[in-house]
Amino acid sequence: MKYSLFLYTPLFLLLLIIIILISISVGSVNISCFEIVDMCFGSLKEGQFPQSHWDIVFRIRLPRIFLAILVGAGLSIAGVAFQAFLRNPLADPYIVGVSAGAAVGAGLSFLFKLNLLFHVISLTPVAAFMGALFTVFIVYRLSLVRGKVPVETFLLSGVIVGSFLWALVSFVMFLSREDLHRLIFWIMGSLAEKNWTDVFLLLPYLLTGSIILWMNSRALNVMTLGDEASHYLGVEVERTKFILIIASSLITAATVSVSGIIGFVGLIVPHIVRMIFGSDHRVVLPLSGLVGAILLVFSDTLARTLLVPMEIPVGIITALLGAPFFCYLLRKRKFSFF
Amino acid sequence: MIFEIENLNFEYSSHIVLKDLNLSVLKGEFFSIIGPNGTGKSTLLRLMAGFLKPSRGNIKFMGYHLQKFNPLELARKRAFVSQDNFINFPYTAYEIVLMGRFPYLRNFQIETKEDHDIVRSAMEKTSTTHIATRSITDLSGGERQRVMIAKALAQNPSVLLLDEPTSGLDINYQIDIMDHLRLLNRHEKVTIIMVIHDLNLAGQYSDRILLLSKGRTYATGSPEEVITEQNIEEVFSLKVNIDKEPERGFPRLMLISRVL
Ligand SMILES: Nc1ncnc2c1ncn2[C@@H]1O[C@H](COP(=O)(O)OP(=O)(O)OP(=O)(O)O)[C@@H](O)[C@H]1O
Ligand SMILES: [Mg+2]
Repeated sequence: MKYSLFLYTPLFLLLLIIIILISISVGSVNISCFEIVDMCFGSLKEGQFPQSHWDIVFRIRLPRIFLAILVGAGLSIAGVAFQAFLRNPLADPYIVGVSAGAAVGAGLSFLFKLNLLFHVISLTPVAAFMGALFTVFIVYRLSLVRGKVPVETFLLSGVIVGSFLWALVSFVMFLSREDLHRLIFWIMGSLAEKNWTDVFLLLPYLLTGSIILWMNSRALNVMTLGDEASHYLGVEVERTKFILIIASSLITAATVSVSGIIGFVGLIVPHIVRMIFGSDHRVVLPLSGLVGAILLVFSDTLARTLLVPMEIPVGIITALLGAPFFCYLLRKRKFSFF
Repeated sequence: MIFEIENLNFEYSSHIVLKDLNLSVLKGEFFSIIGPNGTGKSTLLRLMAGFLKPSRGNIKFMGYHLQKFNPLELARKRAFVSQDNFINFPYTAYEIVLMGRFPYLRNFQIETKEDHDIVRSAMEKTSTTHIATRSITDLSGGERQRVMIAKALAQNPSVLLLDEPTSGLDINYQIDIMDHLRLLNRHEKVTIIMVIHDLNLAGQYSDRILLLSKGRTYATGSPEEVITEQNIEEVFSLKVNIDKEPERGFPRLMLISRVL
């Protein structure tokens, strides 16, 4: 198994680079790949290409692509972790109500016009982030019984808290009539109108979370056997679970707060990677990150080019692409997660 | 002395399971725990493995309080084979057994040749080599049981706790596994503590037996002392015929129908 990491990482990286190049070049203005490579490596002097092309590449498309990479990788990595320690194939990063919590935060920020504060900075991401983390905290506390958090209880209280919060979201929607469409668009998830600030805001959370998860990937393998079996193999079960919950929720909360709710990536990518590469999380975590990045850059490129000048919410694309592909894999390969 | 248990009491949220249990298990013993369903055999085993904490009383393991050990230290000294072992991730059998090396490896350390050798030898001992590359989710109950035993062996434990290890196995593998455990016990001085329902196997292999009844010790001692018609009738409310196996003298038990 360990060899597949060395074998496939370069392959996927290459694929990612190709998709990035395509994604930079297509859009309302098409810029040729050669021009982009030249721009990057500086063999063209200033003035040899239009300034507008430079702006489009470095101020609009690249930050958006980087954001798609981070969000796609983050959601997939968090999805792997949630599925593993909850031992549930249906788990995705939003399973314990993180998305609902973020939506409440975002909704409140629209309701109180915090999104336009000082006309420059929007507090929506901050509110969403707080909402998401607060939700995880509540869910964790609710399922804490005599120093232990049984995964079934955690899952169940997550789902209950989530549906309560979705009701709150609907209520906020009902109150905020004129801002309704903003909230709806926010919930549908989008990477439009993002800049480098968003990328750099997201990066530290993602890096920290992913590194923590990867450092625990051997424990993650063992945790899929259950709490009791993990204890017999030497895992400090409750402590590890706490760390895993914190790390994966941090990643999810950070992605949700900048991009809204992009479904399906975090559910499907872990399955695809496991189907092809097995279940060793030392391999599954990094490769899921790569596949998730590729999938989201690709989907987001479609989202902004298919119906120009309109933008399709990228969550719609990921579901439309992901579900059939997943079904295809499911039929083709015998897969016994279910 | 591997285990010294004094005045052990245990309750699951006010449902009392074990009452004032005293027990010691010697190093290198083949020790069996028998008793009716729901008397607390699995609970006792989990307490000895350090997964559950006593409500009262204390357990000493290798001379120290069990609580003093951290999970990693414990995992290098004892292994546990559970009564049920449902896994829903498609690991190969080999990967599962390799997890037995978890307590010996650092975070990013890749398994060494020695680890793989240990895993292979554990799979040979449990006759699972031929299913090494199959997914654990596709195996039959008995095959999965043997893989789990192999995983426990890969931990290189000096104490092996097993909860009904032969329950899903056909007669060939029952004897196969029991023989391997016996060899492990005799040659490598691994202490074996097992919960087992098959009294004939218990009588044949054990050095000592604990008969539990309603959370209390009913009898402890050699197989001949514990497996008697009177004890079994009293604890299981079932009439049985017990005689001596002519060649080696262990108690041999015959179940008798209540209606025929
Ligand atoms: N997690 C639990 N919570 C509450 N009660 C439990 C729990 N596990 C076991 N019990 C109860 O404790 C008692 C002892 O259970 P235990 O599993 O130790 O029995 P056992 O002797 O192993 O039985 P069996 O032969 O059926 O395996 C039973 O009455 C059972 O209902
Ligand atoms: Mg039991």
